[in-house]
Amino acid sequence: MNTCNTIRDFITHEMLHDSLKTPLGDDDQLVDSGIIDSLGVMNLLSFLEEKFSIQIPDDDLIPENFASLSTITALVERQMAR
Amino acid sequence: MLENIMVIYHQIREAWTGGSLRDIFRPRVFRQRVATPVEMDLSGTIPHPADFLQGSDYRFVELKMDELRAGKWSFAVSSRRFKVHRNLKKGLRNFALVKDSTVVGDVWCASPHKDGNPVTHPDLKMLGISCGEKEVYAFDMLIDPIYRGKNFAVLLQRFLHFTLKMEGFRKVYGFYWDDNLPALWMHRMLKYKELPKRRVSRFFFLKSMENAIKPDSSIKVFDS
Repeated sequence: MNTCNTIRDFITHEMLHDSLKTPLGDDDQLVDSGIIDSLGVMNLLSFLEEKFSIQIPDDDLIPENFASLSTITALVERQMAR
Repeated sequence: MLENIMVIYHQIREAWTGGSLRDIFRPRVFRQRVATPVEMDLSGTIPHPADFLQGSDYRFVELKMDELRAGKWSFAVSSRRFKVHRNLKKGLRNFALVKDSTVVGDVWCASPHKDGNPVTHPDLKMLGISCGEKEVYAFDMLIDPIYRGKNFAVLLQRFLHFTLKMEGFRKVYGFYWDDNLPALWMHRMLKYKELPKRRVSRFFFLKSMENAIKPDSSIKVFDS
């Protein structure tokens, strides 16, 4: 399963309310819609770092990097490439 | 003194019933913890935060001593009541999110003294901040745990900013601990400007602080 779909699965199962479990699009706004909030970003960060064996630096913990599946995937792949 | 004792007693009781006495010691005993001071320029447009609460049971208020004494408000976190009483007596301001008559979250604000003297607060020295004219310091935000995850912290901060701007204030300072990810996230969501970090050690009333040594500790603004 590729990076984006792995992240999509996690967010869908762990962070979406039952009534909203429709397929997440790559560019759906996750922060602006409230799907990712201050508690959600903690859970997501733990998942990303453990699943992909990466360490996301504090400077990258900005809303823009978690705005959508596309931006999260790009963030993870940047860290994996280091 | 009595208020301080009541606050601490209730905090201990909450920590004990919550199963973690660590919560009592963690804010008072630590070594080399990194604090990020932040500032927010209030000159820009700030939407009215009540717009975000339309149709809900929640609203924003500024807590007043006479209302507290009249028993108007109950607190989801009981120690908070005693802290509110103590701090209001000191002249600090409290901005709260309430549901019916229950305070579910609040944040403190130290504003200039009525005699015109600037803000004084023990945190300012720790953070390397001095508040100028028309500048305030916001601190100690708490959202009751059962109400978290609903973006209330961001909305409460917006209420604070909106109110202060209407009153003519130009800037609000604050800080977050680097190990407090929800607080870090909230400040970045609100586009606070981050100031040089400070490394702090504390043993109850004893504090030491220094500039955090970091290659890129220059001022950052996380902006789109």
